[in-house]
Amino acid sequence: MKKLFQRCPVFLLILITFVLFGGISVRGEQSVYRNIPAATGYAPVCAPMFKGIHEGIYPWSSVDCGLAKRENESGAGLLKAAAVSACDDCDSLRADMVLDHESPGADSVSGNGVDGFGSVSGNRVDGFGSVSGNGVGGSGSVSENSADGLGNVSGNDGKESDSLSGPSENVSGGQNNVLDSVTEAPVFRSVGEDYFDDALFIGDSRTVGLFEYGRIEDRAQFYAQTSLMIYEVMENPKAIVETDDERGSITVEEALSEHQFGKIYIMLGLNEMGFGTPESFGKAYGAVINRIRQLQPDAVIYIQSIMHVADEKNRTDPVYNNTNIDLRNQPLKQLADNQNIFYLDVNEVLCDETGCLNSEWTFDQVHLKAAYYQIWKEFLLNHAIVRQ
Amino acid sequence: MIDRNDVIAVFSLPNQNVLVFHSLEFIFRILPICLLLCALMPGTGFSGILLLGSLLLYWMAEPSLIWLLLAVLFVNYMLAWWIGCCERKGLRRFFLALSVLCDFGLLFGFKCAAFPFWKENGAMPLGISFYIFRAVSYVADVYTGQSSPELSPFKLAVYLYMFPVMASGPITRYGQISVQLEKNMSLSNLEKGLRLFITGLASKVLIADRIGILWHEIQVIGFESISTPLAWMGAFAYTLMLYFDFSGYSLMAVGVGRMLGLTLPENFHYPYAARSFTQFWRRWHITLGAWFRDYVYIPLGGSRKGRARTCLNLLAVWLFTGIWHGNGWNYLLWGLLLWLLLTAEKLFLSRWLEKHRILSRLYMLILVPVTWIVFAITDLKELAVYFTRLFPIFGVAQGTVNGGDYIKYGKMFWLLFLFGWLFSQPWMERWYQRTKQNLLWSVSLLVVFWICIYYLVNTASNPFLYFSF
Repeated sequence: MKKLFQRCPVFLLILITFVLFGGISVRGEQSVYRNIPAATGYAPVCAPMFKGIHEGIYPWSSVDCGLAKRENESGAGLLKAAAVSACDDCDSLRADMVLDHESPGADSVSGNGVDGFGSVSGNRVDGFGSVSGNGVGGSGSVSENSADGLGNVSGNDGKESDSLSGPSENVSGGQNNVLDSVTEAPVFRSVGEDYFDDALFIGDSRTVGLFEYGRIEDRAQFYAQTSLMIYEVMENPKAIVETDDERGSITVEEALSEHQFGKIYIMLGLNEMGFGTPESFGKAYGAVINRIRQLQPDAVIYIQSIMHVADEKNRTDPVYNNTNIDLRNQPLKQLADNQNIFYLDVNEVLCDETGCLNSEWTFDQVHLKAAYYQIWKEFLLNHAIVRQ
Repeated sequence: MIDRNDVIAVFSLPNQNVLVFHSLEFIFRILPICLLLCALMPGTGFSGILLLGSLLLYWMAEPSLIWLLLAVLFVNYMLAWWIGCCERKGLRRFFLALSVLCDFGLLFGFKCAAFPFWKENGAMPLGISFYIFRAVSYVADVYTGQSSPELSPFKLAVYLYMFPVMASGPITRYGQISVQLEKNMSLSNLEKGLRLFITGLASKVLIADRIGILWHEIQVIGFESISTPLAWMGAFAYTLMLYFDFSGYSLMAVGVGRMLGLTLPENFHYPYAARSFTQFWRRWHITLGAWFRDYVYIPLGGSRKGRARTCLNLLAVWLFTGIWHGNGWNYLLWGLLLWLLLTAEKLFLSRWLEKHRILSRLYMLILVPVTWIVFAITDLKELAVYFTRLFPIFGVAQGTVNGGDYIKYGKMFWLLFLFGWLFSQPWMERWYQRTKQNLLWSVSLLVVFWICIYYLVNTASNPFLYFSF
């Protein structure tokens, strides 16, 4: 036996560990790994153990922990399973799971799923007090100089700019109307970039892109992170909002309790596509919006539609396609009350005539190329609610 | 008639992965089954089972083109046989030309998507660039008398289609393989092969795929919007990705071959330690370079017919190399660029490079990534944009550049760059050769193997896990 081991140690070691890992997996399949989904394609017998490790469930973890984690994951609704808190090594949970640290990127769209990628949030959280409390701070800044901003986008939404110039004339007179009547369509105006001075953006990697390439990072705050989901946006312990003090980072909920904003833009929903239904998604989204309203009573809240994907992905992806995205945009529209909460369909300017994300503007079919974040930004500047 | 889907269902195999060495299917199913069958087979049946298994795997991976393998086999078998029998020089020449015409006609037909039955597929048939080259080298060797024609079509088929070299080489020669068709499996071969396989797997999964993320990110951002430091980081990332991807794959192939008792030629020998392009191309994809040397450059006269003719011969080789790699204009451009560099080295540069150790390294450090960028970007307009980012003197950035982007990616990827550089230099292997009996190496390889499996399991299985935006 010793001689055999000397002749082929690596082979024997692999054989032994394979049997060991296989045994752990088979045994665990009835307990700790019960909720780990079966592989869609071929997977070796030892696969559940490796999947478990990836999700923070180790062979020595307690059964409860494993199950709690997976239930948490099923994602139907705001997840707050009590069992989680009872389990020590469960803290990494959900956020880690969806956010892949080491994706091999080559063939999946997940190129962005790299750890640490997203956390762009405010290095200036503390200094932000200057605007807090002044919920309508931006209103003074409705400037006519937005005209040059308009020119940039006009190529793809000539209609948009036309309709804007009309109502903007009577805004000054009719502003009260807008705020009073619930049923009337909101009157959007074109504003300058200083509108974003007291704005907050919440979102996933696409919003991270807006932070990095929108050229408004000095004005607006961003609580954005790759793979962020509506289900976890408020309490995710990951460093979404960094602070200058000793706490290091706080949750979005805490940050919203500490600082007041004039406008809050949200775009979330793509990562959630694999979880829950449009209804449960809409419900979770509504709960988050309500909570934000409570914390930020003076802010204008913009719900941005989930941005479409480009044509090729739309055709080939069974989950992340525009039909499914539209199903989930539907309940988001219902959340708008056109008084404090407004729905903005960014796809109006970002999509081509077939309704897919303009394929010239994206490489991975999901994210805008850096140069085209301006179009998104201009759209927002042309769809601003100005309160007196 | 057996339906392919039935066979696949029996083995529960997704078809496309059976010949992909870094797939779970191959590592945990195909490879053990093949090794076991070959090991159990008595010596005389070894090459038979190898051939049968290889054809079966090809059928699973590329079902519609199994007949093509048989056609290529038939044509080359017959023509080589006639060349062997024939005494008249003109006729032998004619047969050689005919086989080259058939083989390359097929290859270029697929490359230019000229065949209507294949048009909608777009991709090249699996392994065709490699088995056509093996076939041509066989017929040419018979013509020059280096090999005698193979009388058994089965043995020729084993040489052409054996699964370790089927998909991506190395491009073996008939003389190397024909002497090895006796069964030579042993535990020490298994161990050696396994070690090579794990090294190759780790190159691919732990370095190439991961540093490839940076290259992917840069494409997501769009070339017009990257800063110059990030453009250089991207070029280095692609350089390392390509090397670890391809050399890792070749190493896995050599490892699989070794496990079966076959000695396959080395395909990469630390090209990034080279100090000139002349050296570099003797160390990068060695079997392809040797093929072009033996079957294009030397037949054209090599360097024996004067300076001008040498340059022309080199030009032919490099244009051909460019075309072989792909059918975009950028590949031609890439071939031309390499021809320029190699000609310059042949004429005057190499003498200077040999004298200056540090300067020659710097020369390679800058120019190798530049040549790979020309190779990488198939759209010439995009290529031009990338060059304006690499060398900002060529033009001003048109897009939205985030000047700090390289800091962010530098923080994320510096460790991979470090590992990539370390493992592309030969010191590690020297150390290993001295101490390979040490148990620590075995344990390290074991750990590395399971880390690779960890990555493979978690990227392949759960479709939602890796979709995060």
